[in-house]
Amino acid sequence: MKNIVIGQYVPGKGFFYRLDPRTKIIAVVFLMVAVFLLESILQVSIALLVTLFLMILGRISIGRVAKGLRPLFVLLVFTFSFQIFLNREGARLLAQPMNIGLYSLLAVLVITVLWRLLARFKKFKGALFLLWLSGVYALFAFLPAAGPIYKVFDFEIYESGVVTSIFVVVRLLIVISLSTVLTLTTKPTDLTQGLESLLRPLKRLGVNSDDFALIISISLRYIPTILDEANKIMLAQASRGADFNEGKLVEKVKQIVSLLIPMFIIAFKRSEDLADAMESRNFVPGKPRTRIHDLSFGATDLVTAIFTVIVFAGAIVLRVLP
Amino acid sequence: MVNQNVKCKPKKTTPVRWLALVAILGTMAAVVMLAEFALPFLGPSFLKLDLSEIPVMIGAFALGPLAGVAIEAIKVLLNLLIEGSVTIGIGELANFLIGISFVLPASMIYHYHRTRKAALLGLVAGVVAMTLAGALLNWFVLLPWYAGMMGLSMDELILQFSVALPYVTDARTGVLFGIVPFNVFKGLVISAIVILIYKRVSPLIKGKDAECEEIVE
Repeated sequence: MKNIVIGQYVPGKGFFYRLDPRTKIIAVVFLMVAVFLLESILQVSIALLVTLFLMILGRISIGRVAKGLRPLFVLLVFTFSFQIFLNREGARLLAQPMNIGLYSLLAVLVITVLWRLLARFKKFKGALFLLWLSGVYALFAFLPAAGPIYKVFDFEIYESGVVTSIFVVVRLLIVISLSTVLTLTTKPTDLTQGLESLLRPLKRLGVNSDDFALIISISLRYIPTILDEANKIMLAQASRGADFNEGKLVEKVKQIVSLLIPMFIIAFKRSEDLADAMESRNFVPGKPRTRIHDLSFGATDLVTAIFTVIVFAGAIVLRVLP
Repeated sequence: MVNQNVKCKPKKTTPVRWLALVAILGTMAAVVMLAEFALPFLGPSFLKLDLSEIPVMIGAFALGPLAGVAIEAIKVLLNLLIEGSVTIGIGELANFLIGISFVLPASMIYHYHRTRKAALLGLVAGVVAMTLAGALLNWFVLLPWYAGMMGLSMDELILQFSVALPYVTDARTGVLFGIVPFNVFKGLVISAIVILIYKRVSPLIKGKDAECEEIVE
């Protein structure tokens, strides 16, 4: 647990790593907005190709970015099935007669049980789900209509459903890839420094971005420590018989309390030590600070900024033009 | 454990101590947030019960409303830095607003009346405010955003609720039956845990063994 990696940062080379974090943050935000301005499937496909090209140019492993997409799998499947089942516009692409009968229902039950049994292999969760889905489809569609039949219907897919779902999925892919590239190539500390610099104008509103950035840096540094402590406490309570996954709500709450109290106590001790260390080094909040590495805006940043402006302007033009 | 003959003066919270406490509590909140668990029986997958409001509330009770807002902001920003954003920060902003609408009323009331009754009252006010903010933000910002993201209309998205909750027919009932109960439930669970924990951990914030003196009778 000691050397746990926080965030998704992976050390590497390539021009994304040389960029000023400020440029990267602003560019990613503007490019995301630009992607949301696009309206046709052709436009988002070109945008996806450009994104992939840039990632290859920046020598970022596509596989790593794809890993960032995993939590969205459910959302993607949901969107896809929703569009395909409910969208009834455009030309009809597929009409498959389906019959729900006794035998097909039993067969579906069998493969569902099989699927749930195999679900322990978490690595193949997605593939298994797709396999199950196609199995259900095949059973309903192709099992001979023998035995009692309850319902016969046509499974239909319309053009607009397919187009919209591909459009939505491609757009989501680009947006996630963009934010993954940002967190993949920028250390959290650099991101913080970039944010601090970008938030400096807020000083007029009474928000001290210097102090805030310092707090964020401290937090980032302490995340592994706190995670480590939480793990220790969990093990300690488990060795006393606590079970964090079972039980009714009241028991769960009790277990959470038994976790949180020691966590708070440890956290307060840590913060006490930290405050003592800072005070003994004569730290005064709100005073200007110096750094080892200053942010610098270089030629690569200029190129990126120009690229972003062109893409953003292009997206607006495409949206406004009929 | 508690010695009746010991009188404790709360240690003064210097700016540095305030800063360190806010930082560590924010870290804790972010760590708890990373471990958030979904409630499968309560609605769509994007509603998750996260208990990260607990450290925020404890900090806000002990250090005041301003600290609560700062801890909430740190929690959200850390999450943004670690996990990135799918929603150009809109989800994060909503999370922040809903969070402070829970923490601010509660800590303001407790800040001026430091009694157990006021704390309970404050938490109830917080749950009400959070429910209200959650309903408004979901109705006007988040649900339209998610719907747009998935290329659906609001009504089609709402259909997702109707699988689990038969009362849901349109956006209004969707928010009323799908999101309001969730926020009330989340608020009540968090409030219960805060009430259970706060008195046991707050002496540490105020420096229990800092300036205690024995009263000789």
